[in-house]
Amino acid sequence: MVGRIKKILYYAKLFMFGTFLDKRSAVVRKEAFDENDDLMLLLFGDYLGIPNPISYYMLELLPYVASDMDAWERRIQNRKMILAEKAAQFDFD
Amino acid sequence: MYRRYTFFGGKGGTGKTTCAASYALSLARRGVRTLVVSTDPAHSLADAIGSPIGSEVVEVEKNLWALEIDAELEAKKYMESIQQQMLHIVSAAIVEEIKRQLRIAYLSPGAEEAAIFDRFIDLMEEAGDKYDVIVFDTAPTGHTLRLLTLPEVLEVWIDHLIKKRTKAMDLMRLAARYEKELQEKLKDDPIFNILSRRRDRFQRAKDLLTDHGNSVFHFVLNAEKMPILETERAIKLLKEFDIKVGSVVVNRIIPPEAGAFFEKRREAQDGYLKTIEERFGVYGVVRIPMLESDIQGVTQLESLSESIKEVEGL
Repeated sequence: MVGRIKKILYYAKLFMFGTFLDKRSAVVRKEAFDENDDLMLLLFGDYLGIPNPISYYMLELLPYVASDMDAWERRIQNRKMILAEKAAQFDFD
Repeated sequence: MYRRYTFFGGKGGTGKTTCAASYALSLARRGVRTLVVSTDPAHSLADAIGSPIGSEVVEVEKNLWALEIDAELEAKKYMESIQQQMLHIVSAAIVEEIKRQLRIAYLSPGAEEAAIFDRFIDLMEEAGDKYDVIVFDTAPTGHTLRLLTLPEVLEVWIDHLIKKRTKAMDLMRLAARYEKELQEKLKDDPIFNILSRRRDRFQRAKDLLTDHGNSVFHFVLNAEKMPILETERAIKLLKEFDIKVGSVVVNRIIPPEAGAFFEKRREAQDGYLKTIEERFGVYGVVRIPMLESDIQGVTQLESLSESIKEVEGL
């Protein structure tokens, strides 16, 4: 009996999460990623040709962001559809 | 009264190294544990002292140690430590990519400067119980001023970065509110930690450099037009960054007994000496005569130490 209630509660929670929370947190997450992309631009802009006064000191961050480096470079260099991107972020359906 | 961190700076070729070395020697002879450090990429300290000096501290004589900071070596060490660290964090596939980027950065402008600066701050912080005084023989003016004003400039920049990272992480945490696993991962942010460690370091460097009771910057110049102008500009900049200016050392003054050949030069020099007195009199002017031969080796440095001692006057 208790097990069944638990199960029902669990599914209810998942349902609520999927319907209301997940969408919202996706927006927030997108915003967070954008913010991080900007930060990366400030940190490693010199790889794209933007001079950086402290690129030397930023090297020690490299190991922590290396795995994201490639994807980031692609994203930054391909920012042609910023409007569409922003619109998609707010999910008008 | 001597200060814990004494800098000698000025235009190239005016005799900074000689002054720094002989000042360090005079301190050492008085029983003060002294380390003399050259931050000039083109080192000449070893020539002045007359014995080989490297990127490790060597004892020249009792109470006197010397060191030449090797920018290239420092930068290399830094890169290696990053590579070492990286092996624990990332997969082997990315290591090559990072190595490529490290090589690019290694060649980028400012890398050597930053490397020297790093070692320089290390020395200032560690020196505490080993040495009573560190005498810095700095590179020609422009280079050095950039070095000394680095913390002030970089702090603003890094502050901005930290703010940005904090915001991104806050948003991230907000998004991960319902995901325990991700939240755990976000708790300790290495990027934030590294950035704030850097900022603290710059802050400490700034505190040390602007501490008037502990740090002082002496200028070395010749009684000529260009060095006077350059010194004036440099003093203005140091004031702006709140670094204490000590004495102004006028080196290579032609003595009256130099003879008829130098008569004209001496007249011109007298004019410049007057200008120096007018412009820099408040800091205290120390005069050092031109000697018969170049100064080399400890015994000859000693002959200067009486006059160079006056830089402590103020």
